[in-house]
Amino acid sequence: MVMEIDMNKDSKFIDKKRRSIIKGLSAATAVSAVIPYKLFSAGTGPTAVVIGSGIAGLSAAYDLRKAGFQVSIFEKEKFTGGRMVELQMGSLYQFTHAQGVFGANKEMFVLAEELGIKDQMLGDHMSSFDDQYSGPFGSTDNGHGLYDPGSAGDFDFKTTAKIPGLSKETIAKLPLLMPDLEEIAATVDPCLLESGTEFDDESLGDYFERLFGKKSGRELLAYKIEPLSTWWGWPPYQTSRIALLSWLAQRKHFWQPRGGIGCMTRKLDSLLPVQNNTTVRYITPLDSYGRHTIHYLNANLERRSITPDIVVCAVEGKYLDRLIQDLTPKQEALARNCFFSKEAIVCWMLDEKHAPKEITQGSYIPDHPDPMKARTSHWAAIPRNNDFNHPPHIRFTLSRRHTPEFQKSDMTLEEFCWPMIKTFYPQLEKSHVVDIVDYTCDDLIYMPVGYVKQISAVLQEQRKERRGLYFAGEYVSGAHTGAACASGRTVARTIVKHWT
Amino acid sequence: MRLQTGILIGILVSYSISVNSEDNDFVDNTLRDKEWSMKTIQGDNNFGKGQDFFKNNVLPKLAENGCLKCHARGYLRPNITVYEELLRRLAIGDSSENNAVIYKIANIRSFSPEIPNHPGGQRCASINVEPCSSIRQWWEIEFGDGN
Repeated sequence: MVMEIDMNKDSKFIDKKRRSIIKGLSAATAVSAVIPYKLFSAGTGPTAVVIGSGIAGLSAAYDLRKAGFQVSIFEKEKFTGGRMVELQMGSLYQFTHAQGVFGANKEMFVLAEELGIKDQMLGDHMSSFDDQYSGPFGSTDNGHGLYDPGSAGDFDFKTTAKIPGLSKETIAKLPLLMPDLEEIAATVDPCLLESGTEFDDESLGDYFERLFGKKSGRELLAYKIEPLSTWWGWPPYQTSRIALLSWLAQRKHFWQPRGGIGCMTRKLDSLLPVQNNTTVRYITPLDSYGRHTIHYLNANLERRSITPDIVVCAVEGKYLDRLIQDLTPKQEALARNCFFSKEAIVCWMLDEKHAPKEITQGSYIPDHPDPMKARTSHWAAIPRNNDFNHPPHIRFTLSRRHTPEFQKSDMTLEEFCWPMIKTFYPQLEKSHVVDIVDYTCDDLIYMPVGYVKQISAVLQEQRKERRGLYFAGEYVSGAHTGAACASGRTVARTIVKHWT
Repeated sequence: MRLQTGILIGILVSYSISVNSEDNDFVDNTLRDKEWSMKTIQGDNNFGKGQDFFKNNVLPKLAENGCLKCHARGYLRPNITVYEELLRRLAIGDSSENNAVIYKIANIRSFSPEIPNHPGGQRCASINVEPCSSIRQWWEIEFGDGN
């Protein structure tokens, strides 16, 4: 309110006394701006606690606050942003999960424009980024040669036809995919997968085998589809076809935002009252006033509870059945089917003396005939790169298909991956290593067949009437940042409609 | 004098519409002022007893299980040697069997049996064996009926 006073516009009508006070107010505003306090635009509307400060929770909170709701956000981590976060791990500055945004993220780009950060959200096509970096969409080796498997956002027929080892028979059948992709592009929003319920009827594996026949279907799955779906940790025969087809149909690219993947969550964090280090323990059933009570640990680990008018559950879906005590049967079914995939990554940080002179890297399909390559999703030797704040290091990503071997091994990740990386980069010695950064990428939901139908059932129930508890996040929208953002904004609209 | 009055009013106004993200002022003051139904259940956690049990019982069992090889160095979250970090995970859920730590390390549910949801694999064969049994006892001390 103070900020809205225009000192110039009506100055001639303001007497001296008032002008002095306004100057004082402005000075105070300037002083308070440097104090680490966050402006909370306390509305007079209903009270809402949003649980989770990922992009879904932040988007929902932003829109609710704009609509006059009194909003607070509870976040269990000391950082804000969920999987759109950038973290410093030792000497390595790293995106621990999301790397790119998708050209089809309509809601996200509208919000970015409103926040004045659209330029930061734009960037280069993922492939060109990855040529300098270490991502999945560069040259892939399938045992027949190197090729670009393409972006997960576009099924490019010309590029696909050039995949080494793909039979003429399979290439001739590629146009069979066209009618379905056109229909999906016209009817399904990849950021709100509920719109694709009718395509949630068979797995990617079964779909390609049905459409192309067993031999060609498996060829295409091995060389084109699995190299893309595996990046999300999705086994093709256990993943609903609409999960990937909804992107491939769009003919849009993924890219890495110029401002970094965390630019939007950082901006929202600066505007919103996020209570970090606040762990929600559980949420009670409805009371007689139609409200839920949240039991939580505050930043000082003290046990507290709060009963707002509205709870927005924007956590990772895997927590739902631990947190909420009275899930409806439809919510319960969704919660029990909500699992997250994890990707295991290890980086050996090198001393400057043994820094790689140039980038060397390799990506391999899970069906690669060489067993070492089949165990490796990607590796790269990376020289110092000041643009990315990266010291010299060797990076290794374990194949999803072979991750269970590591899980049963009782070895550390670097112990397990050492023989593989020595195959690709034999000059690496333990004496060259100054630090090891190993982590498992906080990943995305699995999308088994029938999951989108469960999303739809929960959302239909949620839209029906005013309630005290709402769900938002990728687990009810789709497995990427734009879907989580769209989910947050959509649920905010539903709440505003119900409560005002 | 008028300028100083303006500064004082401005600071008060700014603070009254601000939220301190560090210390739950929002919850403690602003919400109560707005008549949110909020109360402190118990400000006095069982810190001493719980922390002692964690140090003397839970941590040694986790060490025996090999958990510290990954979760006590480097950058993998949580660092389980830090009481507060694991307590925050233990707190998610409403019983000694239904909490984020037990779910993860006992692999209560996973997408498929061969893909445990814990990257380090299933660490307890069941919730009745170590280190899960100690973790369940720890939950009772921290959050059980007596607390």
